[in-house]
Amino acid sequence: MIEFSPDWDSRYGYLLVFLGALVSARFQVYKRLEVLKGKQIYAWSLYRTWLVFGIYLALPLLLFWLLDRTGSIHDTSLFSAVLVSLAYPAILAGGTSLKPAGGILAVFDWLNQAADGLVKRTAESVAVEERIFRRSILTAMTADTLRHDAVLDVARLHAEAPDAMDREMAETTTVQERAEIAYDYATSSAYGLRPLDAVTSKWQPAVALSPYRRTRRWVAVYLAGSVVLLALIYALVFIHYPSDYAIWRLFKPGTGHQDLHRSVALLESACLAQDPGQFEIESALVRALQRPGIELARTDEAFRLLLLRRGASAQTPSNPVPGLLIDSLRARSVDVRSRAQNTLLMLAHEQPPVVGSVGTNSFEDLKAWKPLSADSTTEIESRIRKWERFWNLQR
Amino acid sequence: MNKPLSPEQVQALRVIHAKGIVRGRDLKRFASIKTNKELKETLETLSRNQFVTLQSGSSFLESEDAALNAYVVQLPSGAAAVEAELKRAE
Repeated sequence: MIEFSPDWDSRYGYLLVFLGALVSARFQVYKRLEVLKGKQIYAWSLYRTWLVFGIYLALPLLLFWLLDRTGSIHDTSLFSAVLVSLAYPAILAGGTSLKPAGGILAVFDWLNQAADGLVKRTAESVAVEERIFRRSILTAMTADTLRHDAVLDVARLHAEAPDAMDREMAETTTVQERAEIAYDYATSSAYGLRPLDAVTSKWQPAVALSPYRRTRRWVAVYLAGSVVLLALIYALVFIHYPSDYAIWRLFKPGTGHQDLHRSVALLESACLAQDPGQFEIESALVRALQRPGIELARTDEAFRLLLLRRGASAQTPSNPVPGLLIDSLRARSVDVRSRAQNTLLMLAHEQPPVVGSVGTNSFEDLKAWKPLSADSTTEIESRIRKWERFWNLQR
Repeated sequence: MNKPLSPEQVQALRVIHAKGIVRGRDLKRFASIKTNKELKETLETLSRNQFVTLQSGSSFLESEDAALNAYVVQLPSGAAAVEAELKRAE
């Protein structure tokens, strides 16, 4: 099914994985905290839960990147992005045809163990924090009859056995004990602290920081963090360095034809814009050509991009492309060297003859050179010197 | 092999399963546990069978009254075992 997926910019793929992971990570953590029932809010008010949530959030992004690196999927595939973001637990459990590397499976095992640790820690934390919260509510209840009655109303509404509560109340004599019973019944329903929090959060001045309020702080921190992160990525990848991104995509192994076309189109428009960044793009292309193992189709696209301004300004002395092409003669790949040599010859033929240029013999020597994989460094450097002398005379 | 749970212990386990984190005194209220001694024994048994975890550092085992203030919760890894036990006891 993935093969039939629409192909789009990988940046949107990663964004979709991130958005899907937001939903998926929440579901994963909820599933693991299910044993806490209505008291999950205690766990969500702890930073450890948000740490585990963050790992669940990062895991699909890491998996998406890893599966793309290993060639199992393309990061430009819409269906792959949806699959990884929503079904990554199944992928990690080996339940799909996509097989990630072993290392990431260990992370998932660790997360399952971390969930147990999280619940244990939550129990410990609740032991401390619930006592503080309980004490402050009880103090407020004993000092104010209205507050006492408000909690009692919550208890009557939510207690599973209001009769039992009334019986206990009848057996007690002190206000403190009655308040304790009302609090216990108000918080022991399946809804946990929620009904009580809805009442006590309106009390002024606030009696205690409830886990709901702490959780809202964490949600705000995460939302703000996500917005800042997305804005930063957007600014870097889409505004400041779109050409670097396109060059990276151009030479990235295993990308599809559509992706290659997108990268070339982006670079073409940048090169033809004649902006000051054009030279940086051409330099980056030549640097990328030096890398080993580049596919020939990508090499050809890079040379085509380098020759884009040949029509407009090849004849001008300021054209830096020949100089950059000479640099690319140092590439490890003999195919890249051959293409650089042929391109230099083509540009040389387009130049008007210069009197007193490199001697005819020397130019004939350059023309006759066919780069070979067996070429020594000294041989290549010697040709580079000759080409540099030739182009210096053309300026 | 661990001894099978008594009906009271099963009821306590059912309360924990339904309510999430509970206090010892909640168990005494909602399960048919009459005394603090019985509560302490129930907590010990459920913990020994790894159905629940008790707040670490708690000194509830040292006194029967302290068991009222102990916090008890299931572990995610033990959820399946708890469900099986509750089903078996039905």
